[in-house]
Amino acid sequence: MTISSTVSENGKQVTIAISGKFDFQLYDEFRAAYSANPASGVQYVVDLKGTEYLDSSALGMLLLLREHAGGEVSSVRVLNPSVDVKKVLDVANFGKLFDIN
Amino acid sequence: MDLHKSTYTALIADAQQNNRQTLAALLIRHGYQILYANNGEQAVELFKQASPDIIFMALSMPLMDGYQATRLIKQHSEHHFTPVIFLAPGHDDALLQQCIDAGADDFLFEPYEPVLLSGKLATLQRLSALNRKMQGMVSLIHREQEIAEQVFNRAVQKDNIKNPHIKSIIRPASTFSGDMILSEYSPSRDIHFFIGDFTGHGLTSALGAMPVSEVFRAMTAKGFTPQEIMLGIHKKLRQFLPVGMFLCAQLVVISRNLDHVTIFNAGMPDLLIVDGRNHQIKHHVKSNSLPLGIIDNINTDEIAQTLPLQQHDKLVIYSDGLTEAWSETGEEFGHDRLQAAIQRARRGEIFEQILSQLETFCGDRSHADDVTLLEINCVPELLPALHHSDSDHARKSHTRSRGEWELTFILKQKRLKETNPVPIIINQIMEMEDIESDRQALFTVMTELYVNALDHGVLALDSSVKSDAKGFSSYYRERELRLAQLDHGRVSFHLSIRQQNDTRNLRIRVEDSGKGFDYHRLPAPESLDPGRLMGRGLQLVRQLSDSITHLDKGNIIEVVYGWNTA
Repeated sequence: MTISSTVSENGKQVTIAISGKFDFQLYDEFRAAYSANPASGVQYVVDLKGTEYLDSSALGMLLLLREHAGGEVSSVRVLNPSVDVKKVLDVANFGKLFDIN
Repeated sequence: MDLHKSTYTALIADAQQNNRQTLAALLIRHGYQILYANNGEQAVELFKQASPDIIFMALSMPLMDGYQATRLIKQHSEHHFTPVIFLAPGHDDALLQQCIDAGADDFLFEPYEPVLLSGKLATLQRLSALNRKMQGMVSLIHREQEIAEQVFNRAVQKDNIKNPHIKSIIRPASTFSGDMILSEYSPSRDIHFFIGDFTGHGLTSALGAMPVSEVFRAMTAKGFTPQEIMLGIHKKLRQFLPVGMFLCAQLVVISRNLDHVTIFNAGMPDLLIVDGRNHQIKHHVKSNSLPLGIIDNINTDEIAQTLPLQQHDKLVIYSDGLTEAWSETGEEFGHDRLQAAIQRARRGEIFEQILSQLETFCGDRSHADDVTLLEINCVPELLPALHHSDSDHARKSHTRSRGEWELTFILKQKRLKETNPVPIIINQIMEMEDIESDRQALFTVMTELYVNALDHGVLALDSSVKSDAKGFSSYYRERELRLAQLDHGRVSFHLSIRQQNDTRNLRIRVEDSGKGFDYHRLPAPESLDPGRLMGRGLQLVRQLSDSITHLDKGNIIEVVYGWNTA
């Protein structure tokens, strides 16, 4: 599995972890990972610890998740990007939309 | 093989009669028509002529054996899957491996078991049907990409500036990338470039590129400011882009004096400003904005970056596909190699050097992402030809006099920041006078007069600050600051048309609320050094018009622009 999705015990946090390449081939899988969960009252966390590479369609998927989580009022957290992955997020200035660390 | 076909054809290539008969009998029971080949050569020939649905191949045959025949058949069936089943005498691993290497899809062992054979036939039929469906989809995608590419080339790229000092390449990862490079002159002779990289490839990008190019060209041609154009494109994208799709983009505006460049970098890699003499990289202009089309509002004043230019500077612009291109060993091309290529390049060959380094680096690997590269050489030849229409035959088209008129237009306080009066006034003139061929020259004149009145009059900025490159940036920072705080001042335009015999004269009088200046101390026009960073605006006006007069305390300027109506 390149995408795993876990819900915390109290159901308040959904963590989506992506390993390997995060690109357009994961589109359906990534959508499936969040769409079954409610839009509000849930903290979404994307764990990029195992992500080697991230392309622009992955950025698009993050935006879809953000939209699902409430758009402007959402607070999606993006964790553990590698140096290279962080660069891609920085060039796109995604720090303005996501809580990245 | 088609699941719904009523009859299938099987080709049996085997020199041994009795083997053929046994197998044929089983296949006929499954409704197959049978073709026979006695050797490999015949098998290949029959395959080409009759395109059977399935092939049974013996290993050893005269003239050409089963391995060789299978290799040839597989070479010929690139777009169509025809299963080849080897008739193997026994379970010899080395022998079976040879069959697999030659392209075997399955094996059948003697003695042939009817149940096993019917199972294999069903599986291979399903596989063939799936393969056919996939081939159909692939060709559909190719056709759609071709169409997208043609539409894209015609509607989006066709009207770009063609100039040897602009070098560009868009190399797609697949058939067609949808990366775009747009270029267009503004009426005031600035040069506008728009470089865009959509999420995704092919059709999706082509769809988005069309409205973007329309907005870019229309707004540039009408003389909108770079800030307004960037905002216009963003708003357009917000209207139609679905969530998850966005545009990484740069808008690059090179001033008509080649003395500064205004850059908006929204999610693209660094734009490089390279010194043309020694190939040192003077500036890395970084992305300071989200890509376009994601959030509702972007502040284009905030993300505009203005930097000084010198003649022969080069702008190097590229997509992330360039630095992320992989070698055969899985390494990235990266920024260091890019910079090394720029520094190593011979004069005038930066573009060529980068491409050849990339080629060597990547070897045979096709590009994983689209590679887009643009080099702009900032020389006067980049600018559009400058002419007052009286200097060519266009004057003949002017119609006869239509009486005289006057127009006064005054901008005050905050309106000076919010409204660019130049396009409005030019449109008024064009409504009243039949001088379309003078539009560009008049736009230039009016822009220079307005910028002078606003910057040096109302905002009281000292243009001598601009005389070196450092002062240049601080000049533009200060300008932004003073504009933002502007709560007083005015600029008035008074236009009047007079007819004198065969000449029609437009008198433009621009007055600002500033302190004026001592115009008696202006250097003579011919003593101006063309390489200077200041004072070129008025020189341009002088070239384009019939006369320039400074009046009063220096806060009034009057320009006469005439044309012949004979």
